[in-house]
Amino acid sequence: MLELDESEILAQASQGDRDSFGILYERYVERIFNYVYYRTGNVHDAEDITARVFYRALHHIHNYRDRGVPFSAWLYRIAHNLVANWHRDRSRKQEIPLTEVPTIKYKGDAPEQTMVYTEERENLLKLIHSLTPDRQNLLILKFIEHMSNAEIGQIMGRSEGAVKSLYHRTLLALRDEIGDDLLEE
Amino acid sequence: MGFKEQLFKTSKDQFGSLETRLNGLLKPVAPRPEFVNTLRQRIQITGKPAWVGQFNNMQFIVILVTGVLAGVVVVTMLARALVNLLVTGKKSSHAS
Repeated sequence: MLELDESEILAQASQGDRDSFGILYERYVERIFNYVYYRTGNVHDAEDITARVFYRALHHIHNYRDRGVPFSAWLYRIAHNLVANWHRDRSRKQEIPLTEVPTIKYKGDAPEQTMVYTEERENLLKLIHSLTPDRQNLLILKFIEHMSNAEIGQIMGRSEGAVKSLYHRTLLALRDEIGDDLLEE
Repeated sequence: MGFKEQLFKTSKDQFGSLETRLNGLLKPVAPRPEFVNTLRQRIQITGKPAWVGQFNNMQFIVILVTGVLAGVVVVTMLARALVNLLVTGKKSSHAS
């Protein structure tokens, strides 16, 4: 039902119906923002790139064809390309400065819990940002978006098996960096 | 238990605590409502970048034409000043 609705909305949006595009925007803006935020590490660039993703989608939606790849995957690919350009332009990976943390709300956390987790979160994000872009994508899509390996595969253009294997290698790399002692704390 | 199942179980045990930690720390974030609302308006109303959205089409054309004309005037004045300088320079060298 959701898929059918989406294909109808997509058809209207690709004919220039701004209201239909607005529905798609409402549906995906948070997810795209999350993806970009965790890839760039700061709110300002995340907002800027998220806006560009939707402008680009709006101007090219007439080119979108449903060939078994969902619209969300198309959006994520746009976001992925823009983030890659951003990293290339900046030639450096940013970290989330502590002063920026309060400007963003982590869903489902009580305020005091957020305070406790901030430092640990920041260390983990530093570690994740040191991984290759593919591995970062995988972790974000799995743990932030809670996607299955098959869905991640559609976005990353890999088979489900390849995603599973990449996931295993990513966890191995992370565990080696973090160390067993810290994990057992 | 087959080899595959055993491998899977070992892998699960091995990474269980790491996955739990990742699950606990990697939380979705909420974008600022002002950002979401402003972008929605820009996309639905204008579909153009913010700086374009501030003007309507007529205003945009007027600003563009004014800018081009101002540019032409500045270039012409600079060119005339340069020519005058060269002519004056030549005259003074002939006089001496």
